[in-house]
Parts: sequence; C-alpha cells; structure tokens
Amino acid sequence: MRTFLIRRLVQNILLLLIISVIVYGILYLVPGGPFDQLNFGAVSAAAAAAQVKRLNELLGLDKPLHERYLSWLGRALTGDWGMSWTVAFGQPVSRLIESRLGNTLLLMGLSAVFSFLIAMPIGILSAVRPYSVWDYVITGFSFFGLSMPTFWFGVMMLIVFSVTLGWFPAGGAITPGKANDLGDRVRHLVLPVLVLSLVQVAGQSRFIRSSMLETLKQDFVRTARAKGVPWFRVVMTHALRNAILPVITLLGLEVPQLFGGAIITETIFTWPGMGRLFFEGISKNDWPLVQAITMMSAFLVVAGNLLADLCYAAVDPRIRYE
Amino acid sequence: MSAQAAVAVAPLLDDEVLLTEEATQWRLVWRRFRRHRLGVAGISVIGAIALACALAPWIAPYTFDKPDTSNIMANPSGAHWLGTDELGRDVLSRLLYAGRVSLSVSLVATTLSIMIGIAVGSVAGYYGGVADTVLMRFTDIMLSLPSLPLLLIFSKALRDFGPVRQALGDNTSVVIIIAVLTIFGWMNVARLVYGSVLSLKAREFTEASRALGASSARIILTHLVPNSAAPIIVAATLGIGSRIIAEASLSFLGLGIVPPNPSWGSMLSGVQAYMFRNPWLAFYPGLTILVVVLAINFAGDALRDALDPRLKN
Repeated sequence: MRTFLIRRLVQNILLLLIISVIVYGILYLVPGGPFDQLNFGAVSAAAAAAQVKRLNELLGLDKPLHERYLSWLGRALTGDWGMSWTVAFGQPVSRLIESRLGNTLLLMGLSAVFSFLIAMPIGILSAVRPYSVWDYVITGFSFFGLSMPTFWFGVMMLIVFSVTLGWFPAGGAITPGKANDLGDRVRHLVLPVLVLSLVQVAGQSRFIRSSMLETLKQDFVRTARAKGVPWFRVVMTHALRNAILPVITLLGLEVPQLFGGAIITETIFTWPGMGRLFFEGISKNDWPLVQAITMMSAFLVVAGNLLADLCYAAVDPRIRYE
Repeated sequence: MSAQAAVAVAPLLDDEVLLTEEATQWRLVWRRFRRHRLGVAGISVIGAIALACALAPWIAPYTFDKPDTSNIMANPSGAHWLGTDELGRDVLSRLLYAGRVSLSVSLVATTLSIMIGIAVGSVAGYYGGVADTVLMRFTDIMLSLPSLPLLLIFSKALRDFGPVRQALGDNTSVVIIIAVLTIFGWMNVARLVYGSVLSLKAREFTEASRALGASSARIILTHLVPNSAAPIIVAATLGIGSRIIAEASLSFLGLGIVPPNPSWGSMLSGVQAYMFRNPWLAFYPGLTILVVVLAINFAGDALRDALDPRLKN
C-alpha cells in the first residue's frame, strides 16, 4: 500500500509539472502583457512603450521563458500566483481565487451529491427490471441527457424559469442586501445545480445500470435467493455493495467533467465562482489568473483520482495495491 | 427413400441458396442494424439533415449573412419560416449553412482523432516494451487532463498567435477548432485499439501471417487494425456527436467558430442578450444540436449491437 501511494504521488507530481509546462508554454504564444492596456495619458506612443518596457523589466517579464517559468513555479509552490493583469489589475490572483473558491465548491459539491442521489435509484431500478417500461423511460432520459448541449439546456432553463415564469433569479449567488437569507441563496442555486447535474445523472445512471446488471447475474446473488433472502434485500445489500465498486472510480474520474461543466454553467448563470473567473481571465488575456486556476483544477483532478483509488481499496478488501 | 431425398435436395442448390450462404459480414451487420428502429430513425434523420446542409447554397431561401434591417427579430412567417435574428438574417438559412460548418468540423476532427488513435494504440500494443510504456503513459496523461479548461486555453492562445493567423487567414477559427478537438480527442480510440491489438497479436492468424514472412506494418494494417474495426466504428460514431457538442460549447463561449461564419454553437453565442426580446432565437440552434446528437447516439448504439452483439451491456 505504501509503495503504491508513493508511486502514485510521484506520478501525480510529474503530471502536474507537465501540465504546468504546457500551460505556461502555450500562453507564451499570446502577445500582450499586463501593461498593454494602461493609459499613460498625454505621453507619446514611444514614451508609453518605453514605460511598458521599464515596467516589464521591473517584473522580470523581459527574461527568457525558462527563467520566468522557474521563478513562477517557485512562487506558485508557496501559494503566490502573481498579480492579476486585466480582470482585477494589480490584485493578487490568490485573493481573487479565494473569494470565488467557496461558491464553486458549493456548486460542484451540491451537483455531485444531487446527481448521485438521483442516478443511484434510477440506475438500480433499470437494472432490476431490464427492458421494462421503466427501463425504457430511464434509458430514453439518459440518451436525452447525454445528447443535450449543457449550455443550451442552461439558457433554456433561464428563459423558461426565470425570464418567463419568474420563479428563480436569472443569475448571481445572492440578492444584494439579502446576504444572510437562506431561502434566497437556495433559489439562486436551484437552476445552476440542475443544469450541472443533468449530464452527470445521465452518464451515472447508465453506468450504475450496467454495473448492477452484471452483478445480478453472479452466483452469489442466486445463492442468496435460494437461501430465501427476500429479493429487495438481495438487491439492496448483497448486490448493491458489489455493484457500487466501479461507480466509486467513476466519481473520481468525473471531477474534470464537473469543473468543465462549472465553467459553462457559471458563465450562463453569472455565478461568482472559479469557472466564470477562469472564463473572464481567458477572454481578457489575464494569464496569471488562467494559469493559477488551470493548475488548481488539475490538482483537483489528480486529487479526485487518488481519492477514488483509496476509497476503492477501503471498501473492497480484495483490492491490494502493490 | 434416401435416393428420393437426394433428388429433392439437388434443385435447392441454386444461386439463391448460395447467395444467402455467402452473405458478407457487412450484409449481416446491416440486417442486425435494421432491426433497431431507433437506430434506423437516427440514421435517416442524420442523413436528411446532412443532405439539407450540404445543399444549403441551392435550397436555403436566403444567404447566411444578408442582413435585413427592416426585419429584425421577426417572428416566423411565410417569408422567414423560423423568423430572423438580431440583424434581420434568416434563421433557417443560417441553420442550414451552420450545419455545413458544425458537421464537417466534427467529421474531420473525428477522422483525424481516429487515425492518431489507431496509430498510437496499434504501435504501442504491437511492439510493446518501450513503445508501449511511453505511448500509453502519454495517453494516460492526456486522459487525466482537465480537458475543457485546456481546450479553451489552446483555442485562445492559437488564435492570438500571429503566425497562425497569418497562415490561415479566414479559416483560422475552423482550423484551430479542428486542431484542438483532435489534440484532446484521440485517447479513447488509442486505448480501444491498444487493448484489441494486445489480444489479437497473440492469436493464431497473426502468428501464421508472421510465419509466412509478413512485415510488422503489414500485420498491423491488414490483420490487427481491421479486426479491431467494430469498437473503432462505434467510438467514431459516438465521437462525432460529442464533438458537435464540444464545438458548439466552444463557439458559444466565443472561442470556437467566430461570426459571421455561423455554426450551430456560434449562433447561440451572445444570444442571452436577446433572450428577453425573442427567446426563440436561442431555441432552434440548440434544438438542432440536440436532435442531431440524439440521432447519432441512437445510431451508434444500434451499430454497437449490430457490429458485435457481445458488446451489448
């Protein structure tokens, strides 16, 4: 177990390093810097250019790429991601992220829990009665969910439930002046969580269905039935505990999907989270911000996978990592 | 008695019987596919939409970029079946032209991804050793990347990179989106082919081929890859659908196909500004994507059963 952990940790650190090189390198292709949009008043273009050059030297932006990368990496390791270029000029990126992190984790966490709680029962139901009317309805639903462009579903929800019916607010996380109103917060959360969950529910319920179908064919299920254990208990205790194992891995692998979905969902619902911050950064060429959020999402992905492996070992005593 | 039976059987050995005996693999596949009503419906829908889009210059009532300032955001009417957009352009015509871009982008990106996937998977699986370790580790790394953030970063960076823009001119956005969808889209096929090649290379017909003196390239290209065709074809079909959605998402965010060239996704970018005045503008392009991807997924599912009944879950 320990050797497995150490090997995985080394692999994951390497992976994060590779991602950091890619993300730092690709952004080098993009022209422009933090001071391009500064207004120098009445000075001539040449004088303004000289000022920009001086400021760049001050920040070390004139150094060769590898030197800049190494010093960026060194500072990033201590939690200093530099300052924002355009989204909030001069503010530390870490503070920007800090102010948004909670909202994103809330959105992603709620969607993960919510989608799992829905996918579980409908996946089991399909598997227990395969090719019944229920199964076809659920299968049809998951095909719809998997074929639905998330962003369009979000826009449609917005049009129907907030523009036309006015049931839910059209965006944001709170109504100004109602910071401590729990009902208000929940109303703001409903649509984003619904949109972010849809694709997850569709994929997960298919996965749970096939895993459960596979398990129900096994000998121990027949044995349990033969001993006279009621069908409901066979499904819910004997089969479910085995069928759930591959699902745990799936949940770990879904973290990147969830974060990708968060970028789109937060942009549509103007949810003040990291996903929208990332998109703002991309649109405005705020590279320190983009680099920081990409690295954090990569870290989230890596941590998700590792956690899934550990959970897998914890719930399945047959698994021995060497 | 037995002599009589032999006489009775003999006439049966005519062309008709022989033909059924010689039914090709593809004919069997087609026969199984036809039994899936949803799959057949899916193929028909895709075929009809693709044909209409291909014929857009001839059948579209208007061009995609002709503004009509006196007729902005018009409701559906006899002149404009689906109404007009915020610049007075005909929505139906734009949908047809947009389909050309969306469908060909995803088709080309899928084809390229599959070629790379086949190359990586078959080389890693066939040669093993260092090739296996390097290529499949690389595949694993690519698979574990957070793909949407990187798609966005690559689209943006390549677009703003001067030389790319100069070299590609008007086609910049199309070429870039095909490139990024390919760069981040070949890994699943690579893993499929890798697994399939690993099991096929130990089989007798591969050994026989090698004993007859066939080169490695020949064995890979004529035995290993064709025998992995079933899962590749299914992955390709479903891949076209997922790439249509990916292209639409990027274009919606303004980092895919850029206006005035319409794609189904770019028709939706900026639509939130108009959703109060005319919500239908947001409806049609998304509905088209949903219908096309749904049809592709049904067809892919039917194809999976038809190509290899054992793959059914």
